[in-house]
Amino acid sequence: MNTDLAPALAHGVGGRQDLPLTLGQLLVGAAAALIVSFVVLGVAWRAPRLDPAAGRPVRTVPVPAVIPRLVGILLLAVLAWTFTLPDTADNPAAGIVYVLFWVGLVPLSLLLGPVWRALNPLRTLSLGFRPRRPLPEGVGYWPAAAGLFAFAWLELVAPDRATLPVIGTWLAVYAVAMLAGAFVYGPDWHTRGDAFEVLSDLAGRLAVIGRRPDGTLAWRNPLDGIAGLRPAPGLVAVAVVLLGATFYDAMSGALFWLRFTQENGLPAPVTGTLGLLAVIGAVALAYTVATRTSGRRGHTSAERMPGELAHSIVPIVVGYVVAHYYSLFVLEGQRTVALLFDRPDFDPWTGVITPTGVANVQITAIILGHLVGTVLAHDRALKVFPRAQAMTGQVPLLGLMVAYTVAGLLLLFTG
Amino acid sequence: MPAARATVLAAALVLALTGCSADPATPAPAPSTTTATAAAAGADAPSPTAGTSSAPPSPAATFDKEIVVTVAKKKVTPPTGRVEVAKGNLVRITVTSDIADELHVHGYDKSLALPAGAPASLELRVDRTGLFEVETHASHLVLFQLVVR
Repeated sequence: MNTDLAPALAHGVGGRQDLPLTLGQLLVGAAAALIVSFVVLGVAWRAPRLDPAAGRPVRTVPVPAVIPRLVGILLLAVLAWTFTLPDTADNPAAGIVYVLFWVGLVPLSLLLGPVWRALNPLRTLSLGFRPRRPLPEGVGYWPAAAGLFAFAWLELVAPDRATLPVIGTWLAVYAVAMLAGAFVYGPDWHTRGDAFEVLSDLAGRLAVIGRRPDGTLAWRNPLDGIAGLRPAPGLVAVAVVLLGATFYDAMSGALFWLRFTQENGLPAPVTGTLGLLAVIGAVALAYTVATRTSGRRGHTSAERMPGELAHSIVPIVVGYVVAHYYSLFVLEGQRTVALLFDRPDFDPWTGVITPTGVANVQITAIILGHLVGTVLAHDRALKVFPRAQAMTGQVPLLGLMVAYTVAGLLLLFTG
Repeated sequence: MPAARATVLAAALVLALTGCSADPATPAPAPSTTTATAAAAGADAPSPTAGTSSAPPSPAATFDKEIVVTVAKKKVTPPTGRVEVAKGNLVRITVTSDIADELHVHGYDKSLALPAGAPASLELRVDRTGLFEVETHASHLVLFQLVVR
């Protein structure tokens, strides 16, 4: 019954994947990453400069919180309505969840800040809950990290993941978990417990408009905004899961991985789960080794550095998400909207999806993410390390960033 | 340029090779090994099965690339690889599966019923760039990736 739908969603949504980068594009990208790194190290500022409290206050018309909340509830209602439609490839539910919501949340947050906090219908539904006990100190971002992993698994590994029963079951379980969290710990649970609020918050810190620590809305340098992300339990896990899941998504289209999946004799979901875990594990291992080494070389505690530097991974994640999902978002986003209006024959506008255009967007986004990440790590190193060790302490970090960026480019080359 | 349609022969050849195909994760460097010589005219023996319904092998058609794949015991021969074609080409895909199955070309959303043990073909004008997986539904195998530049 639903089995004939499943392959339509081999890699997220949509049957088309981007052309692999050419060798020339790969080399240009890798060279740019190296040059950017050494330029940052060589010529960037010598004293910490980023300040989360910076920014010019902006006067805005206050929007009552109820408006975005109503919009959020409306979105939920539209999604619920699609579950009443037939479970065919023309059902927009998968496109709404995987494309408009999951992929679209990042650019929307980059533009407007942490929007999901304002829209999140699960938060709205739990507004009446009073905290019954305080959230234990060690919980931090761990629930969000688990939620992000669970969503990545749904999107990239789960069998029949484009079908209504699978999507519906996942969403129902997730909603119950989040409402339970809010029931015990109050609506503030969502701030660090909800995977999508956390993703929106991380990307939203790179917006040019944001709230300073004192609550003032301000125009600001996005670097100042993201520098305000402070270490907390689970924060590194969130960053690592996000980067690892995107890498795995790219890898799952690579020939070597396809062949391995088909020929190793294990059921595909088992291979997929192990692969997803392995890629996240590799990203985490590289991160931990590099940041701890950096801490030691910088004569600072090794334990402290992974958390201090988690913010510098965010732009790398964002750059890679843009690179990997840009064309999918443009094409499948249009198609999803067309399906919502019952126009399955709609021919999407493809003017911005030319082979060189997509490759250029991909390389630019990845290198820009790399540049911002390197600058953030540099500034944090200046803040944390004693002056004499500020440069040597950064070398492992540079190596890490170059490794991530080249790995990302390589995956776009093979995948 | 009309040439003899070598589908059945190629399929048989390919079947003969099944036993010695690469082990997992060995990169087969030449995905285009799947392609038979271009430009054949399929006048002769378009496999007389119900499966070819969605393939209109018009006798006069000349195509730019033919891709021949065999699936036996969940094994794809030649091993899953990439086939590069130019935008605008007419591509002919011929698949022989040992079980009844359905072929699906992602992105173009073309399907073709595959009868057990007999080759079936479809022709496709590739008018959009990108990478498209060609997959079987029942056995869940990616046969190859069609790269349209």
